[in-house]
Amino acid sequence: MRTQALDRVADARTGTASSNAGFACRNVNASYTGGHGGAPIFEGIDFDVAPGEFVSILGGSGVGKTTLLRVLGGLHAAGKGSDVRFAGQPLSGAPDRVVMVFQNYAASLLPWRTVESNVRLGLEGKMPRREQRERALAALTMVGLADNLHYHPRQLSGGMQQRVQIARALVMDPLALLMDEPFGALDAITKATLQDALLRIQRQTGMTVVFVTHDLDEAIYLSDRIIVLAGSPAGVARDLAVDLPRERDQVATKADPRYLELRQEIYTVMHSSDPRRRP
Amino acid sequence: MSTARTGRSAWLPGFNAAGLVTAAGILVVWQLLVSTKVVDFLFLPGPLAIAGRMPELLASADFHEQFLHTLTYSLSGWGIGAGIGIVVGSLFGLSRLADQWAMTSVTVVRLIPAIALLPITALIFGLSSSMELVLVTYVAVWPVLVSVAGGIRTVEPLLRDVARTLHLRWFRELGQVVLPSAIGPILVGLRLSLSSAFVVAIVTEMIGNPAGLGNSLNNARNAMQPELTFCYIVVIGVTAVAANAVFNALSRWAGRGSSARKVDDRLGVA
Ligand SMILES: Nc1ncnc2c1ncn2[C@@H]1O[C@H](COP(=O)(O)OP(=O)(O)O)[C@@H](O)[C@H]1O
Ligand SMILES: [Mg+2]
Repeated sequence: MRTQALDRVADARTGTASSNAGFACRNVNASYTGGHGGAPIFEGIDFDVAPGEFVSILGGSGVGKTTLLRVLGGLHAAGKGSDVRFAGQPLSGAPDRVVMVFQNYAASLLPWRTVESNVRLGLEGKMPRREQRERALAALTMVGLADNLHYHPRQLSGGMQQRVQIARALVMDPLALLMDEPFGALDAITKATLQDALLRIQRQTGMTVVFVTHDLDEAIYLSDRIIVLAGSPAGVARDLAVDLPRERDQVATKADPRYLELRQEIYTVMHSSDPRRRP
Repeated sequence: MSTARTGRSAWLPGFNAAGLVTAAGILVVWQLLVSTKVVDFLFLPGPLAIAGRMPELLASADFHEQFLHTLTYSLSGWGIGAGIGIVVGSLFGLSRLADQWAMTSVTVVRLIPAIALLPITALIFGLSSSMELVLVTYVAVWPVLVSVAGGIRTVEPLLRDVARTLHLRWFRELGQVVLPSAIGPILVGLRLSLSSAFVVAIVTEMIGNPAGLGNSLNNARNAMQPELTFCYIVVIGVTAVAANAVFNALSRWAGRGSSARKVDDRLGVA
């Protein structure tokens, strides 16, 4: 019954996966009114995310990764002159079928709802209750929480809470998932488990993922491409393809000589005095 | 949690034995002072005399009618007022514009004692039950309005982002995310509103609408029946306490999930 549910979700996804579910950013800047005297956090950002691609945005703390992701998710308006598109359409508000997974999982779940009803939140009023339940179960099965439907968030570990948040995004049948340091607060073992679960789900559904992290190894391990942000205001310091086999393995991948080369290259970019100047 | 603390059920208020002993002691002293004529006023009966008058009152059909009147009007006014308070308070909490333009007026108007509005309400509606309902509703609005608006403003901004990324419609965001997160302050407002509604119902009946317990209390005094007057005071007091207790039990029951502790603390009953 579990695999059936899984297959159905996978079918639905591959069936609907749009071939243009990518992002295009041209000359993007953003600022906060009041913060930094309105000075831009980043500017002149150009990059594309192809449909089905797994792209990481890497950078130090405070460089503007969260802000950039919120711009992609339509939660923060980009500044004048910016051109941000999803599936070819300029953004106005949160685009359809682009769902954000927030860094602070504890504060982003509703504590008075059960796991299952947290996951159903985005479906309510959009389909019959029976279908909501089926889809919630399928999504929770994908993240390995099918046995915890009736728990409340506070009864779960941090890793499980983050899985609930991921299931809540998956149930929306997203074309693109935006993830803000989703595993940043978790211990190493939980982190590795969830990284592999995420890769499996991404391969299965073919959805586009933009993944924010400050963890170099996590970025290389997960991604097809890495965009390094650096400077103040920040810009794209490097945009490079991760030319490792797409089948990743926590041990084998990280022992691959190419992995080590990429690691060294990105490390140098992140720690150079003028990261925006290309060598 | 509360079960562990005091051994009482999670949502029923406790039975405070020490508090009852003190209350009983006060009654005994009062009775002794009156019986021994240490305190001797023409119109101050002792607790026993008051208690003796009570069964007859409680059995009378007129009492039932008046009691029902006060209960009906205070609860209806509270319900309508709370409804208005939730709707308008949500508007103020969600819209910076509404807040900017109207909150000052709200602050000024809500500080006018409701009783000062009784004469003009009486001119408009006559000394009638409509007037009573209008005044009760009026006082019931403010505490709810203010607590809903304030509660909404303190909701974790991340939850608003969650609602946006999940494409929740505005009414679903309000009903499923925003109001439940602000449940603590909202319950406090509802409780304040309930007690104000009851007070204003009684006062209006005493000096405006000739009906209900407030009017019966007046009649007992005019008939120079101190025991009966005290009986009404007791009934009114017990009703107010009971309404408060029922409200607290209901709100603890409603918030019995994760936020139960928060609700407890906000109500100051923990
Ligand atoms: N709501 C806000 N108001 C004002 N400034 C903000 C706000 N959020 C973030 N910032 C500032 O924007 C910069 C980038 O923040 P953020 O995007 O959260 O960085 P990162 O996610 O890379 O750590 C920081 O300097 C931060 O102080
Ligand atoms: Mg961040």
